[in-house]
Amino acid sequence: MNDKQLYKKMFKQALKIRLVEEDIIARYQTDKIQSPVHLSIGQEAVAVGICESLSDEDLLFSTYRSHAFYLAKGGDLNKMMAELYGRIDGCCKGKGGSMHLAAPEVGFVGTSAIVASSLPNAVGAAMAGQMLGKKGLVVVVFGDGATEEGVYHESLNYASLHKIPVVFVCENNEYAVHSKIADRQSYSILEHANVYGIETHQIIDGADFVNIHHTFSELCASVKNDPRPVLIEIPTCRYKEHVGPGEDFSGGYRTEEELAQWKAKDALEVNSELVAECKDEVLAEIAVSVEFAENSPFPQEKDLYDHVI
Amino acid sequence: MNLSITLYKKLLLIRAAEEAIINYYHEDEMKSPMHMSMGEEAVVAGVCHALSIEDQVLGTYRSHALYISKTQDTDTFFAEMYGKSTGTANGKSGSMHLSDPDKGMMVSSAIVSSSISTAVGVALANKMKKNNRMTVVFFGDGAIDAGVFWESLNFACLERLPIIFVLEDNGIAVHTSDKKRQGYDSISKVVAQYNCHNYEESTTDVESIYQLTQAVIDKVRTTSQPAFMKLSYYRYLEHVGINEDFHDNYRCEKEYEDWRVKDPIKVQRSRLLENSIVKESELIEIESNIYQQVEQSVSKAKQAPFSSIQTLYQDVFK
Amino acid sequence: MKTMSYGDALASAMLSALEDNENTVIFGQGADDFKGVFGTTLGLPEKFGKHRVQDTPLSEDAMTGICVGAALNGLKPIHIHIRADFLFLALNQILNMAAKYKYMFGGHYDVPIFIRAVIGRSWGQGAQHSQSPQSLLAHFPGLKVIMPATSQSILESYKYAINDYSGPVISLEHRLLYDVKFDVEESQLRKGSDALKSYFVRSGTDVTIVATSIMVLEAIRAAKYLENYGISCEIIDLHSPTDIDEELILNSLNKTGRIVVADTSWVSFGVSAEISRIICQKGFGLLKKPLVSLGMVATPCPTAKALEDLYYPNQGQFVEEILQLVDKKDIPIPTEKSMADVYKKFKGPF
Repeated sequence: MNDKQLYKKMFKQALKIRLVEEDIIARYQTDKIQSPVHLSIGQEAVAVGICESLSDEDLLFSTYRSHAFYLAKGGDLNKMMAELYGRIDGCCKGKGGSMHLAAPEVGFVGTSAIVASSLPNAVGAAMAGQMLGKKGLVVVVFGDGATEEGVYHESLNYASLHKIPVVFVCENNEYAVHSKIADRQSYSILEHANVYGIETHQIIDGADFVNIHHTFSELCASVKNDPRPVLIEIPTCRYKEHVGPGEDFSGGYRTEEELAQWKAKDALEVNSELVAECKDEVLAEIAVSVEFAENSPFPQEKDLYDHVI
Repeated sequence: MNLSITLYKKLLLIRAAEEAIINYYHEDEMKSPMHMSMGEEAVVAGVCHALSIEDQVLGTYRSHALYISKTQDTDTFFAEMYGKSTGTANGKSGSMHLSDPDKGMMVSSAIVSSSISTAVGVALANKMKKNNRMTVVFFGDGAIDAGVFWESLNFACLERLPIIFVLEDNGIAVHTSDKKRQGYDSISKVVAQYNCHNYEESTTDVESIYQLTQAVIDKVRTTSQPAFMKLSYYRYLEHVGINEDFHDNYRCEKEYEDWRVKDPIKVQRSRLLENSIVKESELIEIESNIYQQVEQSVSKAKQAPFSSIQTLYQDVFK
Repeated sequence: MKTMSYGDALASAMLSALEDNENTVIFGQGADDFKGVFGTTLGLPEKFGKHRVQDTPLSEDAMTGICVGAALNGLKPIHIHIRADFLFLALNQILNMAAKYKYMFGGHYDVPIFIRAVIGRSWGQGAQHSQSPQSLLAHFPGLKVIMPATSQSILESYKYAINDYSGPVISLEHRLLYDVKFDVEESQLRKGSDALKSYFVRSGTDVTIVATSIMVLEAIRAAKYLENYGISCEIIDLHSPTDIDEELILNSLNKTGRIVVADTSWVSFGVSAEISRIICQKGFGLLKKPLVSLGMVATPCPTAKALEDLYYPNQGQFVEEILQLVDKKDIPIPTEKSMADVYKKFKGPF
């Protein structure tokens, strides 16, 4: 695949995520999606860039803000939509909702709504993978807020102590809900992780998905070759409110101007030609998934008791 | 009184109390697990001497030295060891949970790292009340494995709190050396990532520690930034109990011997004599008084009554 | 038939866990040191390799999360807390993750982790080294909780939980039982999920006693004492607060009409509260006398022995309660004040 084809492929993937999220917004008022939604709008490039470098046997741990990662990793859109609709054909049979998507068949590990909680899980999975001779990599995505949790430190320490091959990806959108990073952190994420003996990397432009992919691929290959923990920080921007379909500039904690500089780099905002070219196909896919979801039955009482133990 | 003499007396009081525990433990009247302070006297006494009575300290299950340093009270100390109604907590706390808030000894907890965030809260309250009190929290190197230490340090730095984190580093958590637990090379380097003042010292000279602490307190006050002090020491005895355990081979007796040569009490005693601060005969009298104080406290404790069943039910709720 | 101490049964179970399964790994503070978690992991690092028996940093939250992640990816972790109280630091991973991962992902995942936690009740342990969190944990769907009272219980339930069961299990072991010897009949070890269920310890006609952990032994002692006076106690080892054999208990109550529930923790919202609920809902009318609950006094645990002995139920109270239930007054009450003194002639250090 040449560069242009790669760009188009990734652009289309990013567009799919964007349009799925916008569709969720449009449909939210119908109350058929009865699940809080933490939308990925603005952060698509990170997911697309990273997942382009991964295969099905690589495990990806992420967070409650994972629609982008679910789809970019190859999760089935129909099942995702049905899950949001709380139907039996959802990827988690309606029991997870937006915050707990899972697609184990493509290495997308079920997500948790507790900030930072998947960090140690990823370390453990990577350790297990190493002990069992598994080929896949383990990658864990987390937000900047997660680095404040004690368990982040415990996880870095352990990974470093035992040289566990796990790829930590900090998706830094500089906000934890409405709080700015400078008000929450008395440290710098990369320098701090470095001192734990964890090799760190940084991507400057979090909107350039092709570059993210190339850099990340190199990093993954390097970890496979020389197993060790690494951390990469990728800046990004969350366009919508923390949870929900709306925008919240009226809240006053940030301004639309702040977003403007991000939007100026956002291919989905800027490359309207390519959007027009790819849009219809994507919208058709989405329409199919909505129909799938609408037609999927609701779970029954007997389903309530399945899979407890 | 001369500083050197005062500090010597403070060191010896701790040592004498610990020796008394060792001497009397076999009588099976002090029914509490003992996490002994032998080896850490200079660190604790040195830091505490720089504090006023209003300043507050928090500790761990290994807080005999801390309690005695902050309160100078061996009566309530032994009463608590003996589980009597005259103890610091009427016998309810035992060795692991000593406290005397009126003298600034806030809490000590048996859950590793758990009093660190409490200390940050204490410091926050002091800042909000503008009462100029300093908070000092003592913990071991095991505690910095725990995430909550980092959460607490981060918060204290962000809020510019009047708190000093004192890491009493003996290089070991129960029997596990720090090399088996820590993925980073140097704790000081990690702490340096945070906006706090960072100090490291490995000495058994109580006066050095005292002077350092004075400088640290001044720095914290003038810059409104917390401080972290890594002070090394050697834990002479087993993790819990009154015996040595070198026969268990998880650490090297030679290392202990090297530290023993510079035992804090010995160092200070030598200073007093070498600098002719006291004569040998005066020193012996000072020492005799300290041991007598401890004996009297033990005696009082033995004679004190046990708590009654009413005490059992007190202080669950308000 | 052989005799085996509780501690030896645990050591045997740990050995089997590593021997019978390729993918089990033991984690715990001091798991590979010379004390070997009260002797239960001694020799295992040498035999199976250091990678299978690992010491950990003091990071209960992360270590539990690491165990969960390792379980998701093919290992069978055994995580040991040398005091049950330390488990509270791990509650996020236990309650929010391990208990829920199978369910909230619609069955995609199993989390086969086995957590051992030691109830530190022994001697001057104080408020933070003595807790017994079975009710807290059993309350959450998705978790199995077991409280082995005998060596036989350990062998059969650990084998099932580690080899055959694919979900999270927490076992609360009682420190005072470690040196106690029990008869073990290997041919009679219960198999499969039966290994988790409540079972009959002793048949009787006058009173039903449902007990957990060390209170089963206390019940046996009380029953033996009362036997001399013609009082017959039926004893059921509850064993697993999450797998209560309701029929067993109700049938017994149908026979005796009188019940004592003896547990190792506080009474309110505890095991006896749950048994009471079961009786009220499904055995209404079976009681001839009100239910009796034996547990710790509703305070944090005091360190002083004088207070500690008032805090824990003793043999005297046990016998007295039973005598009241059967309306017998003239029988002497044992004067023993502290069960700890019986199970372990304790001089310290711990």
